[in-house]
Parts: sequence; structure tokens; C-alpha cells
Amino acid sequence: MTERMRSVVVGTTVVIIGLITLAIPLVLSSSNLEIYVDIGLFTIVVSGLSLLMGFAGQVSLGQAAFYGIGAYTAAIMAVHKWPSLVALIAAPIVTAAIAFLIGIPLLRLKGHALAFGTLAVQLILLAIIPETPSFTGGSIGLSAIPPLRIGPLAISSGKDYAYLVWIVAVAVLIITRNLTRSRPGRGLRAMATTPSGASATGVQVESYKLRDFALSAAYAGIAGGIYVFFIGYISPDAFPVMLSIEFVIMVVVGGIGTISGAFVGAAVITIISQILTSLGTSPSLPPQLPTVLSLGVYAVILIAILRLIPSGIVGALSELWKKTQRTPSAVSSRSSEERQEVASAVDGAGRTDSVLTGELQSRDATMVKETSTGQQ
Amino acid sequence: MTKADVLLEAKELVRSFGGVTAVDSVSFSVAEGELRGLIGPNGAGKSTLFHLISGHLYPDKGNLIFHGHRIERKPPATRAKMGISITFQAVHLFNGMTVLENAMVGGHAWTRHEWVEASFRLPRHRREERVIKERAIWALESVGLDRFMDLPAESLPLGRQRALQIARAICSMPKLLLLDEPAAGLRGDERRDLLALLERLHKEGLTMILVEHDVGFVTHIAEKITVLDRGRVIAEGTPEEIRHDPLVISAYLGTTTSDEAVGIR
Repeated sequence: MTERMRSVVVGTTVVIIGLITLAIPLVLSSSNLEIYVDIGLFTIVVSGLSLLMGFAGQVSLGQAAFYGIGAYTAAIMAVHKWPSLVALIAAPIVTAAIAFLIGIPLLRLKGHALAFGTLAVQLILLAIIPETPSFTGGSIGLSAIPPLRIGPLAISSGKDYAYLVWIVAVAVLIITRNLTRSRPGRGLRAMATTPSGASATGVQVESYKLRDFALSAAYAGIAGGIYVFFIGYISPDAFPVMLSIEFVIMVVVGGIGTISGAFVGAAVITIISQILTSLGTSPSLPPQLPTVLSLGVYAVILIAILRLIPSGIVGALSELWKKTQRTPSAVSSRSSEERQEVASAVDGAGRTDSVLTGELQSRDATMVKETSTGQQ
Repeated sequence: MTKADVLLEAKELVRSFGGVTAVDSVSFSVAEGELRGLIGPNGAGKSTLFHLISGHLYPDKGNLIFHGHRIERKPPATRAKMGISITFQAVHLFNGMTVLENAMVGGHAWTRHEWVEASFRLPRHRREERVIKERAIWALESVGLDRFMDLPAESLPLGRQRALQIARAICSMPKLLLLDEPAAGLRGDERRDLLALLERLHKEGLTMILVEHDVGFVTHIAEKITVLDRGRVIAEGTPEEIRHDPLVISAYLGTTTSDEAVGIR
């Protein structure tokens, strides 16, 4: 019964938020509308990255590459006279397929090595594009990308794109939510805490990692596809390494592995970056100021979040909520520290013929520290 | 014991780490419905053998036959799907998930619905989720954890965390349950509960292999005990036979006396 009530409450909240989301484009100025579209696009990318970081325990420093691959797929197809809707649908599929192929060797790397591997993917992409002008338009890029048409509907104004992007973003959030609360989702979450425990329960850890990687790329790909139709032209400048780093920061700020965290992180960082840009571009200030400012501010935000609320904004809020809701638990009078002590004492003793020693997991919120888990 | 009764058979298993042969041509077979104890002093190779059966390690040599299929090179997930379920000594619960969700992960072994079906909540997903949930609740009831269903798994005390591991294993509907030192670090009452639970599962016909450092716990419930020392099987027999086996006594003398080991810690 309580579960039903809770789902009613959640459902109503979702509907209200949905209505607000749909009402917002009506009142925004065109430049603010652009920011609103950006937040939607980044929400899509960030939910994928959060799924990857939170569930597979993998950090991708090259997510903007997948965003770019999606964008280029859609742009190249549209320029070659494919129907724009087909181009848009192909964007996530092609991106996921490429990520899947890249992922086979890449996911054998662990921890930092994997993160650098994904970064390398992006650097390679940025190196390839200028060398293939006939195909990708090179450094100059492709312009005159035909507008998006969905059946009889021409998606042309900023408002249209705002609706499109938010419909897709909501669909992505719903899919993510469905996924995390299902058999595969439980498998992923299990894998994130103890890979050997998960595999012993029948979760195909390697395959799940690969699928998660491809799915996160697919999210980035569809966002890239929408982006390119919205902007109408494409060049490699739109996918700098900095964008990949921003995506990671958005995930951390919102809360790794939380569904609404993707939106919160995307919104907070996009708005901050806009404020910094408008501050930095005031007359008489040096032109490189916005970049310098945003680097500094991101660093401060990242450190502050990791030090103060490692579970991110959404994580911290939900912990706060749980604290206010706490009912007296019937479990045990023993404190968790005591339990930890008992558990580690037990683990330390009686296992001298220990195996599986190299099992590492890099789920640590700091993403910098790898901790050895399981058998000591 | 006829051939058909054998559920798991190990033939000449060998596994070395560097120069150390942790498991040295170990052979044994476990019958359907049997509760087998696997004991030995520290460093005897119990855990290595355990991981060879679970699939977290592969043998250098030898065969492992489960239900007539050779499995020594199959990964853990495949073995889980074939019906081998394990509980770890170092509790491997899935933190951040509730007690119920932890048990439900056990359902992974015998359900099929995949990512696309889950993403769009297609019929097979809904059907399987319902069955998994029923089965998980049943498993939690059978270990007495159904009251704590919605709590985070990591908030349970150690004894209950072990019970939850067993519930997760039962939820996977195993043919063979491997338990790695399930009694280690438990308090007296927790041990009694665990003992009662294992006895009940045994009566229901579940085949189990109980790896234990603590001889006393095993001799309480196991029908037959295999004793390892320095990677080799040094004795196999009923608890009574094992207790009086001179090789077993001398193997344990180096670390603890057999009297000490039999006593409840």
C-alpha cells in the first residue's frame, strides 16, 4: 500500500515537473532558450555517463567524442540527402556500435588507464576530422545542414528544439530509471560494488560493462544528433576535451549514479558556465578570460563537492531526506563502525590461502583512488 | 553411489601460484543431496579449491564435472546459471541496494530478460520481475530476514549479512550451494540460527559444500568430510572417522589441537 502511495506521489511530482518543463520555453528569450536546449542535451549525455560511472565504475574522459560522433553521423547523413529523421535515429545507433567496438579492447584497461584510453579516443577523433575534409568537412566543418523534419512537422524554431530535446531527455531518464530497477540494473549495481559477487550470481560482468559503455555512448550520440540539427552546422571545435571534462563534473556535481542528478548537474554547470562567459566577455577584458575563469571555477566546484558532499547534490539531498524520515530501526544496536571492525577482523583471520588478490574497483567517488576490496 | 547420483566430481585438480601448489591433484565427488564438509588447517588450499569450483579461478590441470558437464573453464556467471551458487567468507553484499534487491540479484541466474526489455518494461520483464520478487521474498522468509526487506543491506549486522548472502544464493535456485566459512565471526546465537538453517536446507534436499576452518561446526552437520592439507586430500569419511584419523590430527596439531578446534569459539 505504501508503495502504491509512493508511486502516486512520485507520479504526480513527475507530471508537475513535466508541465513546468513544457511551460518554460514559452517564457524564455531566445538566448536563454539556447541554454535551456543545452541543459536538455547535457542531461541526456550526463545520464549516460552517470550510468557508466555509477554502475560500471568506469570513468570516461572522452564522452564528448561520442557526442561528436553522434553529431557527425547525423550531419553527414543529412548532408547526403538522407531523411533527417533517419539521420537523427542513426546517430545513437552508429555511436553505440562504434563505442561497442572501441570498448572491446578499451574495457580491458582498469581505473586511470581506462579514463586515459577514452581521452585518447577523443584526441584521435579530433585529429582525424581535420584530415578528412571531403567526408567531415575538415576543420571548417559542414554547414547548410538541412532542418529536421519529423513527418509533416518541421522542427525549426528554438522552441521546437526545446520541446524535442526535453521529450528525448525525459524518455532517456525514464529508460534509465526502468533499467536500473530491473534485472539488468540490479546486475549493474551489484557489479559496481563487488564484481566477483555479481559474477557469482550470474551477472556477465564483462559483457555488462561493454553494454553499459555502448548505452552511455548512445545517449551521447542522440544528444549530438539533436545538437547538430539545432545549430545547423558542425565543426570539430564544438567537441573540445574540455567538454568531456565538463560532463564528468556534471555527473559528480549532480550525484554519480542518481537519475535526477544528471539533470541537476547539467543545469548547475551549464548555468554557471553561461554566467562565467557573460562575465568574461564584458568589454575591456582579455578574450581568454572565460576559459581561464571556467577552469578555475570548475576546479573549485569539483574539489568542494568531493570534499563536502561526495554523493553530489542529489545524493546529499536524499541523505538529508532519509535522515528526517528515519524510523527507529529494529536491526541492531551495534554501530556500523563496530560491525566494520568485526567484519575486517574476520576477513583478516582464517584466510591465508587467499586468492583473487588483485581485484580492484574504482567506484570511489573521488575517481582518483582505487581501493582494494573483498579479500584482504 | 551410482554415477547418476554424482552432482559434482573433481578429477585431479591442480592449481599453483608461482612456485606454490595450492591445490595438488585433488579428486572427490559429491552426491545429490549431500552436505559435504571441506576442512583443513590454514593454507590447506580450501579457498583455492572453493574458487576453482565457483569459477573465480581456473585449474592448471584436471577436470571438474557438474551434472555431467565439464565446467573447469566456464566463467562464474555461466556456472551460476547452471546452478552453482556460492556465499563468500568476506561478505560480498551489494551495498547501496536494499535487502530485498540483494536477494533479487539471485534471480539473475534463472531469468532471461535483457536490457531492451527492461528499458521499455516489455511483458517478459514484468513477468520475470514478479517471479523474481516472489522468490526473493520467499528466500528472505526462509532465513528470517523478510522483516528487513527495505533496509539497506549494509545496515545489517554481520550474522544477518551472512544470512542475506544465503538468501541470495537460495533465490538463485541452486543445485549446489557452496558456503565459504559461513560461521566465521558469528556470535553463539547467530551460529545456532545458521546451523538450523543449513540443516533445514539439507533436509529439503539441497546439495551443499561447506568449507570451514572450524572443525566443530562442520562435524555438527556434515555427513561426510573431506580433509585437505597442503593442497592434498589427506582423509575423507564421516565426522566420526575424521575425528580419529591420525593424519588429520597431526595436520591440525601444527596450528591448533583438534580439541581446541572442536570447541565452540
